[in-house]
Amino acid sequence: MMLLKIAWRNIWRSKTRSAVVIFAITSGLVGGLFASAWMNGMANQRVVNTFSIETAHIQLHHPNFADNFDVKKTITSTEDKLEKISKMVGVKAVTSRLKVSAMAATANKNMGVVIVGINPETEKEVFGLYKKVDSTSGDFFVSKKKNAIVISKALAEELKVKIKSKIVLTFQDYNGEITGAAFKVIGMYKTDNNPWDKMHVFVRDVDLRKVVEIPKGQNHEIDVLLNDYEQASVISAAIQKKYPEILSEDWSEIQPYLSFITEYMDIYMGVFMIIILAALGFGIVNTMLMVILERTKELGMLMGIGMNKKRIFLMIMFETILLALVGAFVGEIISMFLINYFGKVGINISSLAEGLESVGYSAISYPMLEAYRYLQITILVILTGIVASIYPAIKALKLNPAEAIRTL
Amino acid sequence: MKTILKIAWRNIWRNKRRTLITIASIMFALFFAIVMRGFQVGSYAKMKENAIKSYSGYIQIQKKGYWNDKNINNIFEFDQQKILDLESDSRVNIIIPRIESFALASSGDVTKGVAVMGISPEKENKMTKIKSYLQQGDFINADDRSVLVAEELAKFLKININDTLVLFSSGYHGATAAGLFHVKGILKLPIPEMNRRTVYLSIAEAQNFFSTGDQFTALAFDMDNLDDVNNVEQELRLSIDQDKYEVMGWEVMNKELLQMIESDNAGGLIMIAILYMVIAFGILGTVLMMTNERIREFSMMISIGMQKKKLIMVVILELIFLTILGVIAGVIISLPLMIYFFYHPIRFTGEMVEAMKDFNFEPIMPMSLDVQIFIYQAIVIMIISLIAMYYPILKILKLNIVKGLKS
Amino acid sequence: MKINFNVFLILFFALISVGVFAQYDITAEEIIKRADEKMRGKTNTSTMEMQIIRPTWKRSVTMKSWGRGMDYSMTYITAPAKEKGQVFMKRKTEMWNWMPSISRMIKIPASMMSQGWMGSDYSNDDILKESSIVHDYNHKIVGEEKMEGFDTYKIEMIPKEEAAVIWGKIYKWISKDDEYIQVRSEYYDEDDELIKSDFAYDFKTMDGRLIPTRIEIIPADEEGKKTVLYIKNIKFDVDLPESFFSQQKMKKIR
Repeated sequence: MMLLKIAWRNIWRSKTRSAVVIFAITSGLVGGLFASAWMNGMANQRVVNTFSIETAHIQLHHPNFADNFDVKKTITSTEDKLEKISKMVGVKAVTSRLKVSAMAATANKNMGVVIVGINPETEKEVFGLYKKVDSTSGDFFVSKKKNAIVISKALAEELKVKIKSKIVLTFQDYNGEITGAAFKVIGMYKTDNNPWDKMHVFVRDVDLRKVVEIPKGQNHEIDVLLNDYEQASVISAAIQKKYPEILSEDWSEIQPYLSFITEYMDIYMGVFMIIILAALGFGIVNTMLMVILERTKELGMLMGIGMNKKRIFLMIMFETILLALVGAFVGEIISMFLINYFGKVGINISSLAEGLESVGYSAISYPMLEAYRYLQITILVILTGIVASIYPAIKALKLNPAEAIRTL
Repeated sequence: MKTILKIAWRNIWRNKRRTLITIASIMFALFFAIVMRGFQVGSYAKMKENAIKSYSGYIQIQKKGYWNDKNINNIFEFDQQKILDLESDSRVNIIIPRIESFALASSGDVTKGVAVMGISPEKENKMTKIKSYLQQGDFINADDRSVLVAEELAKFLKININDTLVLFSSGYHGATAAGLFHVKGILKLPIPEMNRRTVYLSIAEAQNFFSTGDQFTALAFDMDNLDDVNNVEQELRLSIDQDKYEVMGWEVMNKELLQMIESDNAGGLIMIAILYMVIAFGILGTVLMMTNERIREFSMMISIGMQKKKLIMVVILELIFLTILGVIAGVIISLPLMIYFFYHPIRFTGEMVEAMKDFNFEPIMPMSLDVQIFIYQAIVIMIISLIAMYYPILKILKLNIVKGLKS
Repeated sequence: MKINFNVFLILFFALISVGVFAQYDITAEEIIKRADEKMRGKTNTSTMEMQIIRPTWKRSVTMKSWGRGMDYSMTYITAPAKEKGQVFMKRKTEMWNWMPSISRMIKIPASMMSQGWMGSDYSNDDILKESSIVHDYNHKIVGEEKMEGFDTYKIEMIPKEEAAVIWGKIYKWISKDDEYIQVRSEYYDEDDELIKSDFAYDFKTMDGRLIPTRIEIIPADEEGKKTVLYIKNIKFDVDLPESFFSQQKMKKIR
């Protein structure tokens, strides 16, 4: 206990010395935390963006629907299923959709698209696309007009249309006949994923059901949003068990590339954290060695007046631990401030924006870190600091008291 | 000048411990920076290579205008001898001819739109390793009239090996393209969308189907070295008729992928910057302590007559020597590790391996031995050391001799 | 008495003018109908040659054709050799293609609708939607012009609100004097940009009707691009029952 007090006082005796060690630990901590938060933010955003726009957490389809988007491959008794699923534990919201592949044509051009027939109210509870329609680009099914369509700005550019323009959609209906219908553009959206934008157009499910002649109670897709996306595979399995005749998939099955990327990022981060911690460790070793060297006389005196080696070792270790804790404390505060600030403001790498958006990455990323990560990284840094001090501490013990006192 | 140098050099070796500690701090700083950057550069190079070899190749020759309007009428002829000449260039591995277009595929009463790829099997395999995707049956030969079908497409059309596939499309100059084909093999392609809608033919058969004659939609170049691409591209542009043909580089053809990799690279640079910050504090700490420890020594030197200015020069020179020694040491110790990882890259384990193998990506994290890595990192470390020198300089300038002697 | 007579006169003239104007508007749609009927009859059978002309190449396809109203047609390709034997059939909203070289009957899917028929500037969609010029538009006579030696009505066609047509506006010049020959058409997008035009030339009398024997379809986007249709001969109102237009017939027809 006495040692602890001595150690504490020692620290504050030489402000410069302590400041240096504290800075080393703080910089390591801030560096590690901020880098993690930044990378995490980027990856997380991509993942959450995908949920919000493309996949939700779980999707249900007729098992053969994905083969060729055959209009007849539907889920039946949709209403009943929606009700039952929404009552399941962990489910936040559900919605159903129609999906029809079609040609969208204007006098200028025609493009292959996927028409998504939605129920605007429930759609908004599961998907965030409606937020991507800015106030100058119309609205997302606010007005009750019949045969309204919301397309992406990218598609609008290709087809050379704007709000109130007409687009003719041609497709094969439920009876196998080729039909078409005219839709008026009432809103335009833009996400960060250019190719996805060009493919997807949105209409009211009632309008689509009518022109494609899909019987009531049948839908092509049910989308589920959960409270915690990490529960997706468990809940998806539960839904699959409940309804064996349909196919239930979680987001990692729908977009395997997504989980591939997230895992890849994790490994990357891991390797680099190790390198940063190692660098930190060596930095601390060097600094502490210098510190010991500087205190040769003092340590020699302590040994001379009878302090035994074990206690000297402990004293130095305590000093290091205390310094590490102070450094960690300062580092935490700085990191939290930085991460919070940039978390709100965002870090902008827009010089690369064009390419990033076309692969689904946002140009502005928001650093963020889960609470457990803060703890994890902080503990690692403190441990590194402490382990790094063992060598210098041992070195201190090897000092010859007589020599030490004589040092000039 | 010479005396100052001598003094500085001798000073360094007077206190071995201190010197070694300082050199060590610089050495390790450089070591970590080099290793980290080496992994990063190696990974990015590998990612680019994987993407390029999986489809587009490093350079493509196309008909002028094809890239913006990819239809079967935008095809071109190319002299066979010229192709051989280009292949004989040591920088080029192989030149791969292709005919690509769309068609309706039908079996029984099921029809679907598919992508038709006419390839030269042996050549294509050298770059894309396409034969490794074969799941069932056999791969086609150059003179085969049969087709290979992607797995999910085969399932959808309910066809198997030895079944017949109908392909129907619009060919060159509007000629009708229609044919019956024997299914020789089934491929599993890593990208799900491609796995649902691709059919492969020999290029001769595709040319016959689309009535193109001896023409191509693209000639793709496989090369060894990413750095050669710009030169080869330039030379190629000068040697062909630019009214008829276009030379496309891999960067343009993989624009989105490239920028995704570049953004990863940007992230990597941020990590290196953070590493430098950690390193800088380490070096600074060492220099700080070293200076403080020598306050008495400095005060003595000044009090026996050495000018502050000269003292500063000595200290600066000491630090420069230490930095140079540290840098050399850093490079030396990093080499063995770098070389080891260059020949034995880190292998991933677990689920990642499956996913990467599906894409024909090697599940490794490679190390780059690019000289530039060593040079840049050394320069940065030297700059950091130079900045660290400010502390002792300031300390000496402000030195109160009386206080200093008493410390 | 006098007041009554004046009122009567005013009413009388008013009624006549209303009648005249009313008749003018109804006539626009009628004119379009009759112009179309002129070229088709109730049924028709013909031989035609279609030339597809592009800046760097040219292609020629000859065919025999049978049609009934706007809803049924069958076409048998007679040349060139590689295409010979193919049969196309339209039944209301479906289009079929018989390929003897591979013994397959193919139904043209929605994704191929906007492609040119046999690579021409006349799309599959155009063929399928031939009846739409009557049903999907509001027609109005907006003027009279002299064209190709004919006095013509200029008719403006604006698509109905819910019509599934891509055009913003169409103008047709149809000859007067009961001839109802479609001399020219112009197709515009929603921004009033000209996208495509048709021109009729070489007027001859065939089977009792004065019709153009050369029709050129010219897209406005590129120089040197057009499709020319030559009608070699045509007979109207032959015996062609609905049952003629069947898949079995497609396989047998020569």
